[in-house]
Amino acid sequence: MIKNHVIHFKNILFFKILSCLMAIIVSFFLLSELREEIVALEVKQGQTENFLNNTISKLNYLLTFKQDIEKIETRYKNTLAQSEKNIELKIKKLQDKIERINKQYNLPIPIKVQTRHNRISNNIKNDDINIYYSELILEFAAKDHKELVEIIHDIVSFLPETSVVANISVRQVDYLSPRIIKMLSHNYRINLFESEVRIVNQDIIYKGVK
Amino acid sequence: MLVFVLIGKSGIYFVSFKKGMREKELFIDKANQDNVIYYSEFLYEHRNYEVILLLDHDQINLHNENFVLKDSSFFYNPVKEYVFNKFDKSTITSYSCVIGSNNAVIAEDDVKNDISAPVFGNIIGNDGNIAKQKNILMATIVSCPFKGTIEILLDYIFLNSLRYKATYFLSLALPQMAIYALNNSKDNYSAFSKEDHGFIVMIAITRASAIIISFTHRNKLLREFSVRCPDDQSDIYIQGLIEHLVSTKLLEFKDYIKSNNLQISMIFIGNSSIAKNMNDTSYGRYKIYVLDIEDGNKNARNLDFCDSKIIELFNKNKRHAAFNKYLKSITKMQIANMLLFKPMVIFIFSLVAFLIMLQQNINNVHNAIYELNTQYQIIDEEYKKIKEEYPNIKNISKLANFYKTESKLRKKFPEPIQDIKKILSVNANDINVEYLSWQLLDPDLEDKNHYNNISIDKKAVQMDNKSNIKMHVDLKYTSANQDTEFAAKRIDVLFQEIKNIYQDSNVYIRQDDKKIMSLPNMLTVPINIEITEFRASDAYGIKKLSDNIMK
Repeated sequence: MIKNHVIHFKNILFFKILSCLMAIIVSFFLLSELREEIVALEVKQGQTENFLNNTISKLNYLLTFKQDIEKIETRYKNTLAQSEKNIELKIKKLQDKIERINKQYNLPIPIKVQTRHNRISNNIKNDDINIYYSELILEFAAKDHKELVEIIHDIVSFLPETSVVANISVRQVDYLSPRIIKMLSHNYRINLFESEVRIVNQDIIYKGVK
Repeated sequence: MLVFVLIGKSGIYFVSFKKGMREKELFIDKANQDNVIYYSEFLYEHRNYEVILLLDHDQINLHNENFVLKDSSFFYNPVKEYVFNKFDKSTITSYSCVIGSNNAVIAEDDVKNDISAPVFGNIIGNDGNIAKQKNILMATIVSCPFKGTIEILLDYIFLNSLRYKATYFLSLALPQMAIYALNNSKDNYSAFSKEDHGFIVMIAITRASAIIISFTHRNKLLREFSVRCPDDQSDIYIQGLIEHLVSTKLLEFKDYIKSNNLQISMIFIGNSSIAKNMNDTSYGRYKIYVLDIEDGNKNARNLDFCDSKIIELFNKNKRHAAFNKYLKSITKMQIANMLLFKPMVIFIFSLVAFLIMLQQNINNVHNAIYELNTQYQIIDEEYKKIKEEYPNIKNISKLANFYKTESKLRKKFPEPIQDIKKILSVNANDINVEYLSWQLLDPDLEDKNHYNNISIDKKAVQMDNKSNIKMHVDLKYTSANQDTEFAAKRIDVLFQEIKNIYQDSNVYIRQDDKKIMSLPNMLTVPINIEITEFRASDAYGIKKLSDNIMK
């Protein structure tokens, strides 16, 4: 009789272990499923929050400019049609003004202008209006601190409303740089205060126009 | 929670213990002990208790065997092998062992009384004292066939899924019980000393096994027997019977006691007048210890039975569990069940709890998304109202984006001129600005691909609508005066001047002494300054009317 009980106990133990293993496997399967689901849901929640915030923000703007909505519409249409031309015009104006500074301060080596890091901001997707960022790097040398501050002041003052000075560096040269050598070879006056000014232009652009 | 079942010579005694306290008891006499009906109700009431069997019935055989230990085999157990070979697999067996000691004259007694024959004849010396040798293992082996009451009881236990724990033989537990009883004796007149551990006679009047008399020396059971307790006789008769039995057996151990110079102690379990009477007779020369029974089970003649006391003592001295092949398998499976299954169940419950927590989180996120959607619907209603106000304008949403972008471009950033002027103002005859860098760090202006390389506190900038201004200035102090103390004072004044200029900023001034250059008629000290400041940018100036709508 007891032999049967032993067999019975063995069976019970076997099925208990089997059931536990099954339960563990199922639990791990559910665990991975639920984790995937929660990650997906959190992403969705983030997107929904962003979308709602954008919508609230839009509504705020709408409520602000509600009275001038027709003027805004005109400007919007103008931007759609003219944005690329406006940017070209703006850069040309800037270059003209820089030329004027060259003459005004009688700089032996004119201000060197470089453009770089042109990019479109990653705004809301599927939006036809965006911000076009273009960077101008101006390099020049002044004879003393006074002239340096005046040139920087002039550059800042002629910048349009949407252009920002992002970086200025000034170094007093105490060695023979290629610029100094050039100045010496042409018997120019020697400007020891070398400067670099980084200007970021921000312009509204119709998406697709580079 | 335990149920002890004492299967004795006169019947079965059941007693349950809960939290160490005796709870309930039941006695079935020998005539009815094989009928489960009599105790099924009791066991059913205690179905969650663990059941321990304590055997002391007629069919128990006790052997004393001696074995020679082989030096080289430390793990070799000759008793186990002997039991395996000698007994049938279904026989329940258990044994206790004592490594050779000075009490081993027992071998002589065993031979004399034919209790058991030594396995190895050559281990008995001429004086009969074999245990002087340290390599002798003396084993007391107890066995009983697996049939009759035990089989019926265990079958009932297993069939009804009761919690079987173990089986023991009372005989093997008696030496420990005797020593434990003496150690815990409450008798004030006889402080128990170690010498009293010598030769112990334990007498107990039980209902299940009648009168149990055991003779033990240290951890060794020398003899144990029981005689029926006549119900119809007086206490004096029973006292006389006990005295006769004890005296007869003590005569058998006379040489043993004498040769080992042992003192005899007697333990009488039960607050019985019999023990007191014995103390007054010739037994007074022995130390008699009486263990009180608080709640004795009395028979018709009001005679104290000490079954529960015996079990209580046994409960504190459980040793040498008994097995046969099947009980061993069951015990192993129970251990496996405990070690494997319980941790597994705990692990599964933890997993399930974690899953529930995850599901709860999912529900919370669902609710949050639903809440956001509800808010969106409210905002959308407002949109619709504005659209209705201006039916001619089709692209009202795009206009909002356009206006937002325009507003963003109107943001006024901090300008550099004043900062540069301030820094250059520190220029003096002995102080020269060698390098100056002014940086405007703003996430709107920086290429997002380059964010990682720029140290902008984006959160601070976005939350407070501030731009991070960072300036780096390299100054050089140059003087013909080589007095370093003078230079240090001058530099301190300069530091204070800069700190006064940038009161609202974080100013870090670093001066590397290793770079100080001292030339003839000239001392130069390079100084690095770093200035950081969160400076307000002009806000967009948008009225947050939608907040009111949300409310």
